[in-house]
Amino acid sequence: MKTKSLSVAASVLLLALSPALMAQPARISEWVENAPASDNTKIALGYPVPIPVDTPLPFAGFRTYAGLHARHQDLAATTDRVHAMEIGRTRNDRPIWLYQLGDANRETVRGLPEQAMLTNGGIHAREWQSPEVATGIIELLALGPDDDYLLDYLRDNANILVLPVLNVDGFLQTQRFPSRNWMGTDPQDPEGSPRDGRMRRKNMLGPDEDLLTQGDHLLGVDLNRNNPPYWAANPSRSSPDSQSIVHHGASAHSEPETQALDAAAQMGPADQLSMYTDMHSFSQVHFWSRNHQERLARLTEDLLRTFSGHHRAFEAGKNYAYSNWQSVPPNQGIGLTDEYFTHVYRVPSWTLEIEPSNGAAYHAPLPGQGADYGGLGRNGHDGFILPDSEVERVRTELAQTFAIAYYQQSGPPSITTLRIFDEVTEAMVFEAEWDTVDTQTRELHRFQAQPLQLGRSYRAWVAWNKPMRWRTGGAVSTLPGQEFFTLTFNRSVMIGDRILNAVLGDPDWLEQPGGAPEGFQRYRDDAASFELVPLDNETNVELLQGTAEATIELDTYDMTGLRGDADPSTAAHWDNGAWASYENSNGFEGNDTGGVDATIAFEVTSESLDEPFVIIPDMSAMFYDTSRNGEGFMLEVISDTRAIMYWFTYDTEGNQDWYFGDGEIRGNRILFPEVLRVSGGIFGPGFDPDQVERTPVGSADFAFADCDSGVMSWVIDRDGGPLRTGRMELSRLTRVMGIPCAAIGAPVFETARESGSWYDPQRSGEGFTIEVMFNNEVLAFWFSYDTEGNRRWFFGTGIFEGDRIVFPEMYTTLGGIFGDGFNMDDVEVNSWGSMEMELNCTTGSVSFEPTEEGFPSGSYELARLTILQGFSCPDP
Amino acid sequence: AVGVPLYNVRAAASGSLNEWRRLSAWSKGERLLNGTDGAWITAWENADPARRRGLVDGLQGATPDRLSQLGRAALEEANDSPGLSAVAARAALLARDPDLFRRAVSHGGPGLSAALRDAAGIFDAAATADILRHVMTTAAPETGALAMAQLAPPLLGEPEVATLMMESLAHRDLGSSAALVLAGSEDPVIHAELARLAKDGKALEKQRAALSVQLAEQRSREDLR
Repeated sequence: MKTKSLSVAASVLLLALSPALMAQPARISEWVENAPASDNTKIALGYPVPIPVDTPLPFAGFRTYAGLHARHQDLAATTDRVHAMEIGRTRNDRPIWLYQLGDANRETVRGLPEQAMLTNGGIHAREWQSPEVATGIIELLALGPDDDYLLDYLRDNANILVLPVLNVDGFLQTQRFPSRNWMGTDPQDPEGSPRDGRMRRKNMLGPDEDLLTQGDHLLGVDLNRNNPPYWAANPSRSSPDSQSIVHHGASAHSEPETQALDAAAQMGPADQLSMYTDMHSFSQVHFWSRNHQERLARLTEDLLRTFSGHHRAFEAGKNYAYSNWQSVPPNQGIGLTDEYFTHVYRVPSWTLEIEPSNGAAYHAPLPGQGADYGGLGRNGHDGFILPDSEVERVRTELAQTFAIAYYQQSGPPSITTLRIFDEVTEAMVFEAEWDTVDTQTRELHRFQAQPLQLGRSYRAWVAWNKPMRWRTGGAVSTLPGQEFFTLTFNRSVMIGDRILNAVLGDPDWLEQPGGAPEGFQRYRDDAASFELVPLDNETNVELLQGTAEATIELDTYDMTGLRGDADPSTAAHWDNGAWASYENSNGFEGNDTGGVDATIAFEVTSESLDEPFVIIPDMSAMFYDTSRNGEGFMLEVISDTRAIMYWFTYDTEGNQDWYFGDGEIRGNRILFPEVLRVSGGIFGPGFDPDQVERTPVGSADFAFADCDSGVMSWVIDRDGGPLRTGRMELSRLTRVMGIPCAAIGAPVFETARESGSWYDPQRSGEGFTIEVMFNNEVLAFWFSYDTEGNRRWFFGTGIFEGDRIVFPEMYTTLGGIFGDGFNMDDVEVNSWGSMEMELNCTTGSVSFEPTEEGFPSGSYELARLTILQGFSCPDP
Repeated sequence: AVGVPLYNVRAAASGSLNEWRRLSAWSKGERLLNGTDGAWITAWENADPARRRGLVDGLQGATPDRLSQLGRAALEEANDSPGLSAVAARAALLARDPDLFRRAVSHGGPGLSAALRDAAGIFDAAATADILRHVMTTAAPETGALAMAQLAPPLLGEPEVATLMMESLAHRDLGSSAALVLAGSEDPVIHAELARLAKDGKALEKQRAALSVQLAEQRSREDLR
């Protein structure tokens, strides 16, 4: 509970009516459910006195510190979503714990620094609501469903830090005496202010833990008066008197607990912080302070509006009041933690006073304190004792509201991808995607398979970096507490400054997985699709003058009313009291409003073109990026809808590596939602197929403009290492006999059917992919291991000699680097040995004589694993 | 003062009204006990929090048979009115009816913590252990954990209960509760077994045993203060 008054409240201080005027002895008094008002050893609540329980699991009541701590530690040990850190020690040398929620890294799924949000609980010992709510937040993020939505988004893209109990010593003291405290001893307010025991507020600097030792029971430091820059600045609201309930301590940050809170901020790290909340009770308000920055003040008010609006929409209808920014005097304070975070870290910071209300007019008809729940209201401090019956609701609903606040402060929405699909062929004719370059910038990748044609129907699919819509009963709706404008999604296509006449259908927000064009990108409702038909009319023909570049303008808001970042090339982030690199429609970044994204352009033509290219059997071939000679892909189209991909590449140390995937063909794309890494195999006789593991480590998408060229993008995000992404321009390197994708007129022999994948059924986990090329030479890749279990690949070109395919020279490579570090000049190609095969469409054999040291020679029986589309084997 | 209203007129006035409501409901509840179960339950369902407390206060004078009957009837309505399971539990305590009590607690719902706290002083060890086992195996995890916290610590000397706690370490939901209960044991055999499991146990059992060892060390440090 804070000393500030939000305004003159209905809860008038009427000392004249208080028993305070009657001198009473110092005594231990007990909180009870019922007692006569005349009994000065008892204070009746009118509801059962909550007694904390040593249970880790949440229930309709308060947990002990041991129960809460066991819960936190158990979630840290048994889930990968809670990461415990001892962040300091209390005055009595107890550990203070901080919990990082979600993934363990501080990077978004797109490789940008995560915004960090710190929520502090238990700074005032008697305010038991706050550690429960803090734990509710931890439980929501740790145990909430894998929802592909808000929770997963926060886990992946925000650094949520929760410090559930800062004043551990004081909290334990209140729980040792859950129904008892001193009365008649507070120097300023002997009969109004119960002290120590259940009503301890301060830390334990000075007192022992025995309630009955009266001489020391008033000592301690109010940790929420111990903070710069306004430490000791207001003598009426904080005190040098160590017995005062608001004693500010010997100096700013003199206490180990406030030092620990600052250490928690560094876990953001501090320069990534975008929100701070100090949870207290009671009075059901947000208190906040201002520095000189108007933008910070406005954005803080925006955040509090989101918070209160969302929370008010629950059935209980609890309204958390707050002052508008003009009403908050700048540069004043009394030593609170929220002042510290406002002034030092310049982030939206506030003191959340959890319910009950204090009976203020803005809370009418609530009477205030325990009477809000049917209690007796005999002592104002009964507001610190929330009835057990309310704890579960308060805990779970405030946790949900915090999740919304974290969502808002994770950053403004930004378009990540635009794809345009031909409705008839499903071919992706255009793609634009923002790739992360460094911590603050992105670059736009564009691929256009074919210009859009007038009169042709397309479907545009747009994705953002966060879930963008809320649903109620399955239908898109405003987030509770938000206004209708947040559903706006304006679109137009421009040629220069003139509008291209086009049908732009109603957007379908996408709640099913699968990616473009029918599914969301990564989180439910992070993408929308709509019909796009450039009209074939005279106006457009005249506008285009053949083929012209069109700009698509996209304008929408996230669920909390943050408008899109108009320029994704600079990544919006929190910096020095406001959003930075958050441009409006004019490119101006100083007003935190966002604007219309007009950064993506594509070609539109009035000419009549062929049908867009789609995947055909002839796409079975080797492809590579000409700037990355030394790595590449073997693609096998094995049906109308399915293709296999082998990626021969490297690790980050210059050693060979390989991946494979089983993909889906859609139009001109091949999608590999899982790129697999195989481990556990070794070269030669020690191979044990039972030791082989296939692990999805990422994904890859291929898109082709025509037979010979295309693009591919990849993400490696599930291998336990840092997120890695990339893309390559693809060029064809081989043409397969019978399916060369070119009019080369070469004869087709029966040998062509041997193309495909082969393996030894006793050695599942390694194998060969074979291409019988148009000139009857045979390209073979062997995806295998060395004798230490490192993935290796060997390749060579063979010729038919009777029934045999002879590979006089097999090669291996060295020196490539996975991803950005690749330099094709560093790739060495070395002889590895020789190999012979005999293949008979369904069965075969291979023998090999390696020359590289450590590789034994040998031979295996082979069986067919895949056969390319367009070929078949005769029935046996 | 620190912003806490010393005497909030509206709260005090509302509190006086609440007290009157509780007392009047107490009297009314005593009368309703002479009528049907349905009438008492309907009155409870329609009452505000203060009146509900008064109705429950009015149970104190009822006979054990009447309490058991009302408790069972209340339990049947607890799906629609979750607070009635706590009413049934309170009736069971007053009637010293362990069967009704374990059923009421197993049903779950708000307000059971106080009833569980009181149960150990009313039922003997065997009945308490039976209640504990029943609630752990039939109730929602939160309720099972609550029962473990309130009932198990004084029963850890019973081999059956200690074994039950050990076996629960590997339970996805109840394991942390078992760890916390076992951490409070003063039996060196239990601590040795926890240390063994923390080293050689499997998966969740190992993690929870390690948690229990950690919590026990913290308790020891607290005891030494």
